[in-house]
Formats: sequence, C-alpha cells, structure tokens
Amino acid sequence: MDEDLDIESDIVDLSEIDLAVLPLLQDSVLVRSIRRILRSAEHPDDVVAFQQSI
Amino acid sequence: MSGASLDPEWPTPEDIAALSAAGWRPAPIRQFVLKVHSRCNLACDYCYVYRMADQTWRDRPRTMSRNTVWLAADRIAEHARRHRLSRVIVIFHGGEPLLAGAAFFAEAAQLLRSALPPSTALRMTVQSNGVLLTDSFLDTLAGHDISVAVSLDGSADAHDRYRRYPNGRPSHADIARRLTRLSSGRYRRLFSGLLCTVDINQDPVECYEALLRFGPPRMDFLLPLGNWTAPPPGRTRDATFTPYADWLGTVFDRWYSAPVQETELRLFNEIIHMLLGGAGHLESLGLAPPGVAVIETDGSLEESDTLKSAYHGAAATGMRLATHSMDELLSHPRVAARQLGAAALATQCLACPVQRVCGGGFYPHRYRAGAGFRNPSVYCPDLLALIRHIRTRLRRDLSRLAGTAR
Repeated sequence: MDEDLDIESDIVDLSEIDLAVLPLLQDSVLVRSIRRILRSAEHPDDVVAFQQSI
Repeated sequence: MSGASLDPEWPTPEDIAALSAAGWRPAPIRQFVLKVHSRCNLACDYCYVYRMADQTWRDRPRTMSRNTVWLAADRIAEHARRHRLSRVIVIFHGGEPLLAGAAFFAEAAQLLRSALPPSTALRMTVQSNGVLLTDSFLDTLAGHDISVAVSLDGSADAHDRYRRYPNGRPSHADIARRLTRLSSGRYRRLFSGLLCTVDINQDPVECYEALLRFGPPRMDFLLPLGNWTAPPPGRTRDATFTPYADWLGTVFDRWYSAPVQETELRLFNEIIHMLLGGAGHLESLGLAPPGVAVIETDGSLEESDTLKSAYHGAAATGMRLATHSMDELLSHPRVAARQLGAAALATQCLACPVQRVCGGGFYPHRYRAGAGFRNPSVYCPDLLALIRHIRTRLRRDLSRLAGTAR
C-alpha cells in the first residue's frame, strides 16, 4: 500500500490491508469500495452531488 | 406558513462577514440545476415542487426562455473562469424537464458549450420521469451527450401508488417501456441511473430488484422529504423506532451480499466511503460543502429546491441571473450555511459519534418551524441506526482483509 496514503478511517487501519489480495477477490461492493478509497487519495473529487439527480 | 417570521436567520450577514474575516471561503459551485420546465405531466402524491409547503411554481413561466438559458450559460462560464473549474455539471430538472421539448435541449447544450472556456469540461444530465423518452428524444440527447436519469419507485404496484398521471392513470408501464429502450443498445451509454423515493410499505428487496431489472449503472434511494414540523410518513417521535433504517438496512444487506457488485447504490457507497475515511460526495450526508445552484425558469437563483418542502419561499434568495453572479449567490447567508459543515450543526450532532458520516443529514430534513434548520435531522434515529448497521458489516469483513479492524 502507498505509504503516503493519508486517509483516516473510523473502523480500519487501511495501511494494513493486503492490496496484493484484491485482484484475487471477486468484484464485490467491499473490494470496489477499497479500490475507490485508494483512488480518491490520488485523485480527489470535489463534486458534492445534488441529491435530486443521479 | 411564512418562513420570514418563523425561521431565525442563521447565519446572519454579520456571521458570514466574521467567518470570511477569519479565513473561511465558500466552495465554488460545480453543479447547476436548470429548472427548464415548471410543470409536470405526472401528479405524484409526494412531490416537493407542487404538493408541499412552497407554491412558487404557480407564478413561474412554464418553460425557461432562450434568453434565460443564455444568461445561465454566461453566469456559469463566468464562475468557471473565476474559479478555474476543470469541470461543471449541468442538471436539467423540473417539473418534468422533457416537457421543454427536444429542440430546447439541443439549443441549451450548444449555448452552454459555446459559453464555457475550453479548459472547463461540461457534463449534462436530465432528471426525468421517463414518460416522454421516445427514441426521437433520446437521439437528440445522444447527439448532445446529455445523459438521462429516471425517477422510478420500485415495482409497478408501489410506483403506481404515488406516481400517476393527473387523470389517475398509472405510469409505470409507460416508463418501463421507455427504460427498456434507454438501458439497451445504442442508448445505453446515456443511462445515468434510477432515483427511487423510499416507501417503507413496499418490500425493500422487491423494490431493489424491481429497479435492478433495468440494469441501471447506479441508483439511489431518497428519504421522503419531511421535517420536524411536517414529519415524513411513518417517522414518529419514538427514537427507538427506525423504520427507514430497517428498510434501507435490508436493501443494504441484499446489495452488499452480491458476490459481484450489481450496481452502484449512491447512499450506501457514500456511507462506506466515509466510514473508510473518504470525503463525502453527496449533499445529504457528510460535512463536505455542497456547491449547487438552482436556476428557476424565470432566471431566479435559488438554493436547493428541496427546501421547498419546509415552507413557502424557503429556497428563494431574491437573486437573479441578470443581476447577480454565482459568487454573490454563495454569499447569501442561507446558501453559506449549507457550506459550513460542522459549524452549522446542532449541539446534539456535534456530540454524535457518527457526525462525520451523517453530517446532520439532509438540510431540509432538519427544519423545525420557529427554530429554523439548526437541528438534527428528523431521520436522526434512522441515520444513526443505518450507519451503525453498515459499519458493523464493514468492520467484520475488513477484519478478514486487514486484521486490525477496530
């Protein structure tokens, strides 16, 4: 895991997730969520969505 | 109900001036909601535009004029240049926006694109009830790269309970036919997703799976609009009673347990993302500042139109495209209040363990006549229970991957 990743989670120390296993796992909600949080550290998105549209 | 006497104005212009002096700056507006048609071809029981406290639609032009679109494009471009925005999102909304006609969208898209600086990408979406989504209309939207999101309330029975034509005829069958076209073949790339308002009387899994049948790339469940003065259906004062958390938690378990993710589910995705430490990306959760401007058919600049569920005129700012910039809109005290994050929360919220994820909930849900918006959400017990439910599930599964789940 990228050592510069600076994301504080309330429930898990993300730095201890073994990223090597992610490609071996099915594309579940959990796996996608972990990929998303890792992506967001490098490519933050400032858009906060209007709820009445998707 | 008049908001002027019952809604204490917080923050005041003086509060905003003090915040600015202390270094606070509003986040720029990145989403522009164009109310292109103020009427609708459905008569949904719970509609916040026509059936709740605010009735300002009665005095609006039906369709946004070409001049108003031109002014909107100019103001959006001005804002994009001033804040060097790399991307803006325009949401065509209503009423039912497709009532404006296909030619309107073609012209609006051209005006918006030509006004924006080359360095600003433009994404356009129309949020529709789907009734008028003919192939011909879809061809026009495709030609201008306008994606399409549709409101659908689950199974036919559940949807038709509320979403009917003015003559009482149900609408689900018509919309399902249109969605079948949108979700397949050459139109598939336009399909942005489905929005569903929660009805706790509907079976939650049946609702989710009814929506899933159309293969949406994403969907979301919206809590019905309501507040402490006009509570949502089934939301009592008993804080141990959490019907919406129970309903959504059941959907969450069904969605989350799929071996391969079937669709993005925005509400749950956002809660998970924030529990994992990420920033919020939805105006109804978290503490990130929403940057949304609503432009009415007459060129009025307003706050998020869902505030109309609180009291007559609640979304009004007194500002207009012709005379006010988007930066001036951001300086309006009630617009600024939406951007203050934790500083805008009620005392109870500041002490809450899920404050960072919940963020006090959706702003219109916080309203209480006589006390304004500085309250917990009327859905507070449900939000707390839902976030805890998701947190428990996540923590259990993450412990298998990380071994350090707390």
